Amino acid sequence: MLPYLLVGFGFNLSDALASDAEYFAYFFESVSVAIREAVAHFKNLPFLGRKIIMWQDWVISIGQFLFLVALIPSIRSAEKPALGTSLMTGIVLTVFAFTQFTLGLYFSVVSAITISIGWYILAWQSYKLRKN
Amino acid sequence: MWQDWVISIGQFLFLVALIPSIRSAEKPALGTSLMTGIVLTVFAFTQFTLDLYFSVVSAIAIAIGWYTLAWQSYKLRKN
Repeated sequence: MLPYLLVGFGFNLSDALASDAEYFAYFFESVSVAIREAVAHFKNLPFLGRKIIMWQDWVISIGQFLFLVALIPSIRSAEKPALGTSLMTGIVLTVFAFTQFTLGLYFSVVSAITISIGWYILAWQSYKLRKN
Repeated sequence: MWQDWVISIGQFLFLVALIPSIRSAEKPALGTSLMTGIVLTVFAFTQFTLDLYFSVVSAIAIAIGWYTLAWQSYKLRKN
């Protein structure tokens, strides 16, 4: 009597349980697919890293950082390079920064801009010395 | 690549700016000249891997200029 009653109310429990089991299977399958894809992405990480940050970017930016360190004594010293030399070097380094940007060397851009600012400071100091 | 031309022309200008120092009696510190030469040699290799071949030539030319300065500083220090 009870099964008929339940069927009558639209509760088909046997079908419901069977479909639940099917959904569980889909759920676990989707989890396993997600894990497999995550592992594949993880394996591709070094390649992805090379695409985003090229090793050349690191090398050039470290080299340019060393040039910046070498520039500091000149900025602090009383003797300055010629105004034309400082200005020209600053401009060339600014052009380099733009060129490196188009090559995707973003850390190098930052270091090139920093050195060019250093050379512009030197140019400003030479200009002030010449004026006084 | 146009970037190759821009970088090589810029580096060529640096080379021109270096010539007065090579001809002058006063020299930069030996350490500075040597370090700059080494960094520029590394730059030349890096530019080679980026297919910037004209830049490689100009970077090597400036590196040679800085090695010359280092050699001159070394000789001055010895005498």
